[in-house]
Amino acid sequence: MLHDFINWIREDLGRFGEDGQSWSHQLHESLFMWNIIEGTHVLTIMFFAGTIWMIDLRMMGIAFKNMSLSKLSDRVLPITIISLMAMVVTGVIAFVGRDPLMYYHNIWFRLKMVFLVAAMINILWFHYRVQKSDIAWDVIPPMSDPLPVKKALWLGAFIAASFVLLVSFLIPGDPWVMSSLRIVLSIGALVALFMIIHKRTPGLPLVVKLSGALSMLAWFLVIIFGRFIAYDWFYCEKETTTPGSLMYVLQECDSALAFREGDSGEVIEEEIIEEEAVPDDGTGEAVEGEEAPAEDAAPAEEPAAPAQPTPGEGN
Amino acid sequence: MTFEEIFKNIPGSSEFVASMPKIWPISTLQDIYAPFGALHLVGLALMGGAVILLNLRLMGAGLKEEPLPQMERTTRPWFIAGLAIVLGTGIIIGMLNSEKLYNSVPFFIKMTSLLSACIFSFGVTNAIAKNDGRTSTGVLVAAGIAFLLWLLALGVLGSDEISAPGLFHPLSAGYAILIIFGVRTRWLAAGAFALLFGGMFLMYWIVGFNTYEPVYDEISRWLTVAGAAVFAALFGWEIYQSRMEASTPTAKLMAMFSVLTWVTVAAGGRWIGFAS
Repeated sequence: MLHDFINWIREDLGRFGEDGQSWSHQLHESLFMWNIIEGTHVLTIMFFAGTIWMIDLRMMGIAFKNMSLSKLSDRVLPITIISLMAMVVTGVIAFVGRDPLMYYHNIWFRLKMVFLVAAMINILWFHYRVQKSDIAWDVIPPMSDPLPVKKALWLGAFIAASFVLLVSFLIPGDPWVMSSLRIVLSIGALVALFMIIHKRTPGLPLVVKLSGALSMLAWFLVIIFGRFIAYDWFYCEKETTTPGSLMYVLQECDSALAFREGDSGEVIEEEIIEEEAVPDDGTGEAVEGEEAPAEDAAPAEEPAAPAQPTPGEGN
Repeated sequence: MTFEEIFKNIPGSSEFVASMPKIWPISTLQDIYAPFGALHLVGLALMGGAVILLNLRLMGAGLKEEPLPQMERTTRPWFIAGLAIVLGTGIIIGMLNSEKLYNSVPFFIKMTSLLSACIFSFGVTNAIAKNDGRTSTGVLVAAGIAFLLWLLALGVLGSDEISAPGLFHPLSAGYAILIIFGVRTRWLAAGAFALLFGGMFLMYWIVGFNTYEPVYDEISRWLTVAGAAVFAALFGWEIYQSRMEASTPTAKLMAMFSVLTWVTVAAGGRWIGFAS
């Protein structure tokens, strides 16, 4: 059902008359408009994530320590909220204008949305639950560190996990095993880092620091997964995304591929298929996505990936 | 203008650039370059937060109660941490894509404005904040150099057929800052932005976003020029009217330039992908 709605956005929203084109296709084919909007979406990260992270760092007691949290929030949150609004508006337009079905069936976009929702829930939790007791911790109480040995242990754990994580990138191995190992090591390093911070600020309630850390992590992952949308590693059309595999199921590839074969009953315009099948730079390296290939597009030495049109439209 | 054009007479320069992806340990990172691109954005955000809060404070907005030297001390570690992530990941990404970037106009814009932004941050705004808002001759000289570099970057950006629309990003950031800090011009800035750029969006909406008629490009160009002129006038008026405040007009000017140069750096990076 959602698939059909997204397809309606793609094919029909803003289309007037038989020969008209939807806003989605118009934006996709625009010379600069989509680039300007998507570029603005990415640049608002500087304003939004940058400012919310400063508040999160204060919640964890490691920045703006001499300022009350309420005062910091009063001054900084308006900037954060305005930036968020700009980010959402440009994000929605960028979504509509660069093949919404591609996003819908993209695992990274789905993960981005999951952590976006998680970040929002954390904000609500903090605002309606945690902040009610802020008189007790609005100003950071004088610090003491009764257990320096434990702090040193967590520091050691953080350094060890980070070191092994870095080394893991230099070791060849099964991609799934290595990825799982890196995820475990990343979680371990983050927990150790959080415990170091927790030990540094015993006067602040754990729940406040936890909320700050969750917010930082959620927005961090929103940025990371947003960037990964540009890569075609798990696209439904790829042979490596086999039916029944985890990525196949999570991305609802059945409906994407059924659409591709015309099972949905939708008519796919030939010229659109041809247009989208052309890689961005003509080398076969580029892929469609929220983030057009930037400096970190596939290096020249990478084996050429196939052009990635919309899921549901083969090339 | 690209680095290839600048260094074309240096023997072996192209070969050296082409060999960069093969240099160890960069060569080992080819299969895992994607996380570095994502971390690049994370570093930019962390740095951006610190830059914006310090510069807003220099303009007399945001965390106004915090003394300037204290504000500089508080934001500095996060600024440096963000910059270290941006530079570290940027070097890896850049070396893996060296040939493409060597011949890229937006990359030249990004590097020129990066140099300008670093001078603005380390040599100008942080120095002014450390001195509680006071400027010195050295600071003004550094600001002059940084400003000229930024003008060069903007000139190249504006004259490049593909990346010229990227001028919208520093311009819109300027309006955003004016809306945040401009006590007298806030609503004028919001109105002007909505009228000029909302009007541009509306125009393309009506005629079709994929319209390639030159007349609409020309209108967009003039709207951008008008947007820049209105912004300059509003900002000038704002700092002139607030000249008696604790935060000096020079500090406000430097702070605005500092934010806009960092936005130009980010915009340059974004347009590398669009222009390729």
